[in-house]
Amino acid sequence: MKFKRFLKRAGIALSLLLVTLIWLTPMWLTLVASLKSQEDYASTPVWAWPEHLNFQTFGWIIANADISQKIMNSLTIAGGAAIISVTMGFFIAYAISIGRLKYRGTVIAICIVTFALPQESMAFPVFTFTKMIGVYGSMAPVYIALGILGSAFAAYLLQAVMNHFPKELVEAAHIDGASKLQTMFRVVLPVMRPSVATVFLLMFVNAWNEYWFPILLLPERADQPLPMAIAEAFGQPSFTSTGIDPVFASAASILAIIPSVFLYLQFQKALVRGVTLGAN
Amino acid sequence: MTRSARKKRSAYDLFLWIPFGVLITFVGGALLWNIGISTVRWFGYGPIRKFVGFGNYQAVFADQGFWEAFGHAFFFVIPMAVIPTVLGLLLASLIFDFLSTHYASKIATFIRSSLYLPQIIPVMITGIIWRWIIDPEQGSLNILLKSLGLKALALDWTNNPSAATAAMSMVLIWIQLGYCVVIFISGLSRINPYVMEAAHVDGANWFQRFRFISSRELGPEIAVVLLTSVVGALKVFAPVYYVTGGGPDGATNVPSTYSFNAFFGGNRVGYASAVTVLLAILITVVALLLIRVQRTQIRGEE
Repeated sequence: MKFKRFLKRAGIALSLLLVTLIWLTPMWLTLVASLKSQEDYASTPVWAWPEHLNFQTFGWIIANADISQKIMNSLTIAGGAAIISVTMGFFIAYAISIGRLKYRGTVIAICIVTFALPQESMAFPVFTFTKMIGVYGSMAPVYIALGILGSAFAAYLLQAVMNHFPKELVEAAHIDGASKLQTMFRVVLPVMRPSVATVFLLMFVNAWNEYWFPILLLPERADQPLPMAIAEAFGQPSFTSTGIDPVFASAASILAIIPSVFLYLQFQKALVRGVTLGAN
Repeated sequence: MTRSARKKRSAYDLFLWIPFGVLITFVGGALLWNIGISTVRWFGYGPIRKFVGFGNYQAVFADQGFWEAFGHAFFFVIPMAVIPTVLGLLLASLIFDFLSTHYASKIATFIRSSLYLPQIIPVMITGIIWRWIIDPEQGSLNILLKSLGLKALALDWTNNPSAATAAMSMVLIWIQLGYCVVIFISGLSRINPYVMEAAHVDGANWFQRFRFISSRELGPEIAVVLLTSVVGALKVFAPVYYVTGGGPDGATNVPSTYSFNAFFGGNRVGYASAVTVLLAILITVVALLLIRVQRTQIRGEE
């Protein structure tokens, strides 16, 4: 009986591992292709680990694609957007959750619709507007636009957490004569710090992976964030239609993925918590 | 209301209306402007050519490509919302029920992280990776299939319309599954273990417990996943743009790639805006509907 249960358990574990294996296959193929020379790629099986590790493709891309500049661009855009989103979102959430304003439901509904809306229904005017006032092509409009739009999601997540904030603490602070602003910074923010950090991280990752506004507003490769610059240089339809280069495409992909995977591994718990925050 | 009470209110009002005012001005302004652009004929530069009223919308409705693009978006709800939700529920319950003991939890973490990996990768990069994998000549998918003796399955993923749709669906499932699994696992940990234990003692097998307890208790999680992924499918852009580019010959075009191509490819800015206005209306309706369904569901449970 016990053995049978063990067998069942092992069978389920194995089939789950099989699914996992299938899910990892694209990444595996990309990784091994990126480490092969052109000749190796042509002559060895696609799934096989390279006989001779070849880092020249990486070297060429790093030397020619100015990766560090692109990472700086990504940090600027993602960081800027996350700071704007979380700051705005925190004030909105504070007002409707702690302040219990009566139009709370309406505000939440508008926030949900805002982050459901396709960015393309707002992107063309933003594109035209930035051209009109002469800031087209710089990074600031990208992170300002992303930051403002992201504040809807940040507010939604933060108010969900703030609803559970112990009211006695807020009332006690008010009785002690603290103003609304003092209560926010001295009482609510310290308690909320883990959630604020989680939402910041989520906003950062979202903005890092964002594509509509960067594609629309950043025509110069020098200003583009890392994933987009890589995609434009090595994965654009025009590039691939003239003949795809698996080795280059995969090496470029690996380079573009490294910061994201690093972020994920570093902050896995907080990120997963952020993703599930909206659902609970 | 005393004066100080009013003052208290107004501080909260200020906290709300400064940032929220910026948000709705931005969103509302951009949406209205977009509607404005959709009523003119314009190349996107230089003076506006002509006010055409609903002319662009008439042109959009008369265009078969537009209806096809919307049809594809509705079709992609299956690989982006339905399949990942069902598969995700099943996998999450299996992982949670069979691998949560201490010696197996490392395996569980590994499986969960691996399935979640496609969610971490910037979607444009996902596009490049899959684009070269499904390349009919040099891509590793076909090389793999051929070496496994499955030559019949090694289709022309980029030039055959139905094969391209299949490949696109594959990519969307690959991207979405991890999101569902992670949310459902976190939801499962919220279910009272005694309920499960009681059902177990009463002789309910795993499938019965899955069907009558887990999948019902997970109502809120399922609602959120469906809301986000149905909306995500309707407005999907980057995976399609970078994997198939909407091709071959529009076979995988969706509204967003369709309007993008009209905007940049054809310089038909008014036309492109009209498409995005229609998409925005559709998505708002779907989002509000799903929110309502979720609300009544929760109320029904209470």
